Parts: sequence; structure tokens; C-alpha cells
Amino acid sequence: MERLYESQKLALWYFWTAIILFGAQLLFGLLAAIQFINPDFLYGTLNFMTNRMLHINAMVVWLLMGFIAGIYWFLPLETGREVVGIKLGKLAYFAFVGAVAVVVLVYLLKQYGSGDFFTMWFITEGREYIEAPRWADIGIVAVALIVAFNVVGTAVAARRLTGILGVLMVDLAFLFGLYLAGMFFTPNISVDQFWWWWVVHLWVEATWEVLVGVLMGWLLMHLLGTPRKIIEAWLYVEVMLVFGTGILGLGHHYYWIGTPEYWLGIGGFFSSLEPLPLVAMVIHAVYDAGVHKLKTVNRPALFWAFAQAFGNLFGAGVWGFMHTLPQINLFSHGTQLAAAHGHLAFFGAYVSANLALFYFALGKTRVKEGYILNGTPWKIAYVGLIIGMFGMTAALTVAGFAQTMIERATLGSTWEAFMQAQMHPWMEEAFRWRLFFGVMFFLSYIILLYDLLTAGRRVEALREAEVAG
Amino acid sequence: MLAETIYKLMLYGFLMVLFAGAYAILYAMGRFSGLPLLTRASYSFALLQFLSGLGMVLSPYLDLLWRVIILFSTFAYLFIPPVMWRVVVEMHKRHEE
Repeated sequence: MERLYESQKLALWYFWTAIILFGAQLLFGLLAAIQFINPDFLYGTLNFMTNRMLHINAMVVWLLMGFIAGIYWFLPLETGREVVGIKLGKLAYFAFVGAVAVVVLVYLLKQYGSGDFFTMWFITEGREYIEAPRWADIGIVAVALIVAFNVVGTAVAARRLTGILGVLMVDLAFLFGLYLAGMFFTPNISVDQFWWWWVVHLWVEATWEVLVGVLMGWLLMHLLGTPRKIIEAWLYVEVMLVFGTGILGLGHHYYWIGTPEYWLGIGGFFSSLEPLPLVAMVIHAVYDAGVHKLKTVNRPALFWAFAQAFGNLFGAGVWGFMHTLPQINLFSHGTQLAAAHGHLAFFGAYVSANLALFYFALGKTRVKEGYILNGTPWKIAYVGLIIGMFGMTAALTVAGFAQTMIERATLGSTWEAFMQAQMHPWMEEAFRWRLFFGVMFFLSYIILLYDLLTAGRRVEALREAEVAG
Repeated sequence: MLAETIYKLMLYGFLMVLFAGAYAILYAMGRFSGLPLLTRASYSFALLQFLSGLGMVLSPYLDLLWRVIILFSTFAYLFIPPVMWRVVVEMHKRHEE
């Protein structure tokens, strides 16, 4: 068992908090899924919008916590020394967790407020996906700044600047910088949406993508022994491709918010190019899989890393491109098709990456060198989570298809059209299937949790029993 | 009529990237494992990808600019797997040297 840096111990705190929040995300998602079928369920106690908000916000926070954990895990390995501001890092962790707890309690107890400054600062900003009240927003930026300070400070103290660290530093600057865009407040809805998309698209789809690229690069170096030069070369290519198509691909959200018409062309052009780098990345994943013949001491980490490469292609590429052209998006924007794309893309790009990191850390803390982290529960959880996610995505695709065709393209987006689409058998049936696969996903999460809690220990117990027997 | 046009465009777009992905995966697997049969099979997905792209290009709903953009993408997908394969192999070879 390796001796852990303080920073890696902090990473483990983040990992476990993230995994618990993952469960919270699923729980609120299930409640919202039930409410799609039965809108009266928990009405007045835990309203749909609260469940949906908690479902999405828990996802953002746990993924972010997983990324921070990944940084704190690999940073001392990269620099060969303890992180400089480790006490500050621990303080930020407690502040982060405390803030999340307070915000969730406020959401659960208060749920909504009047449209004034008190509400904006202390209850919710009321802006979809980034509902956190202003004080919590400032807290998130502060935590990101502390992480950035620790990365830069540690690199300076170690007198070591690798290509991966360089990319990470630039990305962290964008990570806290772009989040500030979500804190602009203007009564003009077009201007408001303009900045809002900077957080929802640029922050999540660009800075997170690069951050995950950094973390997966470190993971592959330590898990498979992939040479640094290859990782760094590939990382530069990825940054170029993601930023090259992703930044202006933002325009596909700008079509319908009242921005000038040129966004139609810019957004459409770059969006149509967005799947190209994803297809290219798959080639490297297949090559790596072939070179290493799937042999490693930590198979779950490796399998989740592959799920990341392929999930990104399906979620962001296939489901994204399907409805990204403005001519289609005019009818599909904001329907369940967007939800289908969102579910699969986040699962593929980020959830899989975080789970790969968790298992890698487990392999270093639970399992003695040479032992293989390869039990049965992770395989059940792996297959269950993937089938559950594809099932939910398929169901949401059918629902979104009905919404796009019936509500938008045929009946013309009226209130009555919305109601007719909601009551269409394709939508009602699809929502039932979504719930079914949601339950499957949740049960798989329970198995995953069991595996994370006991992996390594079970192997130890088995070996000890073999020795004793 | 409009719904049918939108539905066809969406379906072609879905299939285009799906087949492009299948082409890339099979091509890389075929090259890696030295199985020409697999590589040849990947070309059928390249063809399907191309045909799906053409389905979008020929849609009367899109104007010329969009047809050109999609046609460009359709051709680009054809070259990505072999070009990327060379890049990846070259990258690894250089490191080994």
C-alpha cells in the first residue's frame, strides 16, 4: 500500500462526498421521473421544480468535487511534493460541503422566493441549472481559486512545469473566470441568456472537457504507464479540437435567444464539426485498448476510462448532432431530446471519468500491490449503469421525438399543442420506461456503492481465507 | 409534411455520426488486430455514413450553405479514421524510438 500525501487524503474526502451526492442526484431524479407520470406525487411538499433543480445541481456539484479530487490526487505525484496550501484546501473542502448542505436545506424547506435581491442572494437565483444563491456562487469561485492557487503554488514550489500542469493552470483560470459570467444580472432576457450560456455551455462543455482530458491523461499515465510525451501531445490536440469547435459551437444555443442572425451560421457550422474530434478520439481509445489487451491491476478504472471515450462519442456526438442544426433545433430545443442528449453526454464524458478516478484511488488505498481489483459487483454495476443510462436516453429520445414532431412541427408550439403532446401515448409510455430504467440505474448505483465500500477488503478477506484454509 | 422533413433530417444526422463512430471503431480494431476483413467491414459503415450524410444534403429543407457544410463533414468523416490511425501510430512509434 502506498503512503498517501495529505493532498491525496483530501482527495479521498472529496471522492466520498461526491459519491454520496451522486446518490442524492439519482434520488431527486427518480422523484422527478415519478412526477412526470403522476404530477400530484409530493405536490406541495417537494415540488417537481425543486426535485429537478436538486437533481441537476447535485450532478454539477458532485462532478466538480470528483474533478477537484482528481487534481488533489495527482498533483503531488506530478510535482513530487506535498501541495503547498493543503490547510487552505481542507478549509475550502469544509466550506464547500457546508455551503452545499445549507443550500440544499434552503431548497428543500423554502423551495422558491419572490423575485427580489434577498431571494437572489440567499435562496435561489432562479436561473436554470445555476440556481445557487449569490453567496454560494461566490463560494464556488473561491473554492476554484483555492484549487488554482494550490496548483500554481505547488508547481512553483516544486520548480516543475509540465505540459499537463500548464494546460491545467490555464483551464482553471477559465474555470473560475467563466463561472463569473453566470453572476451577471440584467432584466433583459436576451442579454441575461447570453451570459448564462457562457456558464452552461462554455464552463461545462469546454473547461470541464479540458479538465477531464488532464485527469484522464494522468490516469492513463499511472494506470497503464502511457508515456508522458504521448499524453501531452494528445492533450494539446484535444485542447485544440475542443476549443476549436466547442467555443463557437456555443452558437447553437444562441439561435433562439434574440442574438444577431450571424450566430445562426456560426453556431451551426461549428456545431456540425463538433462530433469530428469525438470520432477521432475513439481511434486512440481502441489503439490503447489493443496495446494493453485490457490487462491492468485495476480493471474497473480501465473499463470506466473506455466508457468515457465511447460515451462521449454517443452522448455528445450522436445524440448532440442529431438535433444541433438550427433547422432541426428550432423544433427540438428544450424538448426531452435535449434531456436525452444531456443525460448520455454527461454520463459518458464526466460520470465515467469520475468513476474511473474513484476506482484508481481505491486501487491505491485498498489493494496491496499486485492484487487485482477485479470482483464481480463492479461488473454488475458497470453493465447496469450503462444499460440504465442508454434505456433512459432511448425513452427520453422517443418522448422528445413526439414532442418535436407533434407539439412543435405539427401543432405549432401552442399551449394546447404542449398539452396534447404531453398526453400522447408515445410520451406517457416513454416516461414510464424512463422511470423503469431510472430505477435500474439507481439499483446499479447501490451495487456500485457497495463495491466502492468493500472492494479490496473483500479481496483481502478472500486471500486471508485461502491462506488460512 | 414539415414534421416528416424534420424527422428525416434528424434520423439522417443520428445515423451519420453513429455510422461514422462504427466505421472508426471497426477500422481501428481491424488495423490493430491485423484483420483485413474487419477493416473491409468498416468501409461498409463508411459508405452508410456517407449515404446518411447525403440524405441530409439532399433534403430540400436546407439551403446551399448548410448542404455544403454537411457535405464537407460527410467527406471529413471518411478520412478521419485512416488519418487518425496514422497520427496515433506515428506518435507511439516516435516515442519508442
